[in-house]
Amino acid sequence: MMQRIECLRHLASLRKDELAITHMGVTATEWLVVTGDRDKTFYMKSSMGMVSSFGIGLSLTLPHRQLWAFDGDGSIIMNFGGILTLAEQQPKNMHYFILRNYIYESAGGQPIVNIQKTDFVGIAKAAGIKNAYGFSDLEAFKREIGNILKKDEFTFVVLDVEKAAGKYDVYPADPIEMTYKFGRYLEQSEGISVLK
Amino acid sequence: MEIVTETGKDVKTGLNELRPLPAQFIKDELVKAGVKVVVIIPDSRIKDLYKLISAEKQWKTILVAKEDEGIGICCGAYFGGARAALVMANAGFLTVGYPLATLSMFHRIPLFMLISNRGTIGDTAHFQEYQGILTKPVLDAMGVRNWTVDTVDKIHNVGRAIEHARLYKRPVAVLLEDEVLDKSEFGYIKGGNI
Repeated sequence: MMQRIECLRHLASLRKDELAITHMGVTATEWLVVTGDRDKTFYMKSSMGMVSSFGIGLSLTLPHRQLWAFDGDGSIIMNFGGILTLAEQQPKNMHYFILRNYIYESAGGQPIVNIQKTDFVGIAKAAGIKNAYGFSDLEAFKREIGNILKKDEFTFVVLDVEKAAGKYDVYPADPIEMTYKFGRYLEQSEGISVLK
Repeated sequence: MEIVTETGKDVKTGLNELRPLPAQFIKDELVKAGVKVVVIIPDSRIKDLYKLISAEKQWKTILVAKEDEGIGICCGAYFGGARAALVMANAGFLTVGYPLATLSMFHRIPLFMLISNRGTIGDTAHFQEYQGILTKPVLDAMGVRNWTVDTVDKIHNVGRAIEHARLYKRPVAVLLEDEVLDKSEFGYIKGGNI
């Protein structure tokens, strides 16, 4: 099992101008802690399960931008059919991570159904997702993730992580502020019209 | 491009004539609005519309397992600067309450839903009773502006609803009913001069 914040810290060190989206919960807070990013990241503050779908919509309409999507195990199973949609679309510019902590961490640590037996990498492969990887050792993750992210193909990465050691003081912004910041950033960097 | 037609009686002159299917006009509204992403889940009275949407090159047609994915996809597409449409039956609408409220409404992301309102007047699907009874009240209760398109002359509201969503930054719905849905023998109770 790895420390989630260390995995995110390593990814932040590799980040150039990739967009990021995260599900609600401690992942969002830890990503904000390691990146301080309020422009290029959309923190899906409330909707569990929507990371894979939102990511598909965003990556298909901005095909030349890389997208890192951070989801949780409790979240992905709320939109379990979304794995099939990911498998059909497999956007080349999207890299999808499950930060698998085995519990509903933000709600108080309750267990997730069948979580000890569920093999997300196996499920992804069985659905036809070609690049499905699982990591539970931080050194192996650090060694290999750079090459995985360089692929011009959709990747599905499951990270076995522990729950956070303590509590954090920061939290991503107000939902409407987030829409405007992310939207304005994309308008500026892509020359598109988003909020009009 | 082949225009798919049906034979119908013109109301004013009483003459039989060939005319395009309502689905053709509905699809044309999406084309005119500049839609670039369509998420569509099949329904037995939008079979014509499904065929026309799948064949259109202007947008990417995305298939999903469940309708709530469509909410996520359309909201993501918004940030890519694209207009999107979620086309589904009202049964599908009844499943999307959570992401509709927590993604579209909470983050104030415009969203356009095109809903075949089954179980309403002219529909033989009596087993869709509650879909027909509940859909409009639920939309109204959630504060989702909605407009019913049940005759061909109202189809222009499809494009206007897409613009309304963007201007007002809200989710909206167009409810397709009665004469604009497929008129196969199974689905449709005839009425009036049509």
